[in-house]
Amino acid sequence: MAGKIIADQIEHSTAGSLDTSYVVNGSAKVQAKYNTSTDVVSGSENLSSITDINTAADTLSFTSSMSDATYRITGAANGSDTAYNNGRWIAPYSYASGSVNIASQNTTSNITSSTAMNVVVHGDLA
Amino acid sequence: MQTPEFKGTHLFDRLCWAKERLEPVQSDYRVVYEDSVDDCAKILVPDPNWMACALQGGILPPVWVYHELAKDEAQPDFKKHTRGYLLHNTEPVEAMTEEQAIEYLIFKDCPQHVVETWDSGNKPKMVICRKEQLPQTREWRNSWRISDELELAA
Repeated sequence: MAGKIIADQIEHSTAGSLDTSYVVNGSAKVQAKYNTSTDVVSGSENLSSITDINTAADTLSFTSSMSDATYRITGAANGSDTAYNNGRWIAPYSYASGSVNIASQNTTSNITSSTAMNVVVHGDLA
Repeated sequence: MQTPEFKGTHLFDRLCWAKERLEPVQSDYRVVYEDSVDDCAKILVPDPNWMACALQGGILPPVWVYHELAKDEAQPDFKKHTRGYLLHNTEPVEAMTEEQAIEYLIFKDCPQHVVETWDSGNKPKMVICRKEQLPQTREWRNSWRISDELELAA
């Protein structure tokens, strides 16, 4: 690709140096912001589809697969996009290199749809 | 816009290229399928950025690559992918129509047993429809099924 810089390290004038592998390995490989009620994807990276599988769980399918199923998921969910609305927590399950299921649950552990689901995946790509 | 020659470029890098240059395309198509008699119907929604890549052409690998990786992952001794290069080094597919892209996505993201047997049995196990043909509220979402009285378009 045009504009390619190949470097194994980057160095700050005073703060020291860092292997660029930290940057490559530490950057998010999948990102998704979507609404479990309407299945509208408002922002994404490396996603091919979202499959609504029940009341408030979805399968996220990746375009560029992960190397295995040991990747890490962080996320946040809320019942509203504009105000606090009983914040939810996300429950990932059924990890595979090309997809993962994400459920949204409220604070009493009832599966509940979320207007704002935010999911980030870190790990190694295949 | 001309897609660069991407064969040999990591697929993730191609997606980053596309994200910076292509407008997302939100398809109105939905794929509804049932993969178990005990579960409710599932609804596949194409990702807008992925759809933009599919319509542009020269970015996505052929769908058989995903099937090869799935076969590897199904092996009992699988630890991690060793044939990820298939995603990056295989000639990318040409530009698709929206309908062809949905077909590709069915083969990629729907369970193989559904794809292979969708029209066997008493009723279809998979239907492509428009977003507005789905229920407009999520009431009784866990009971949604494909109708037994479905009239299929030719």
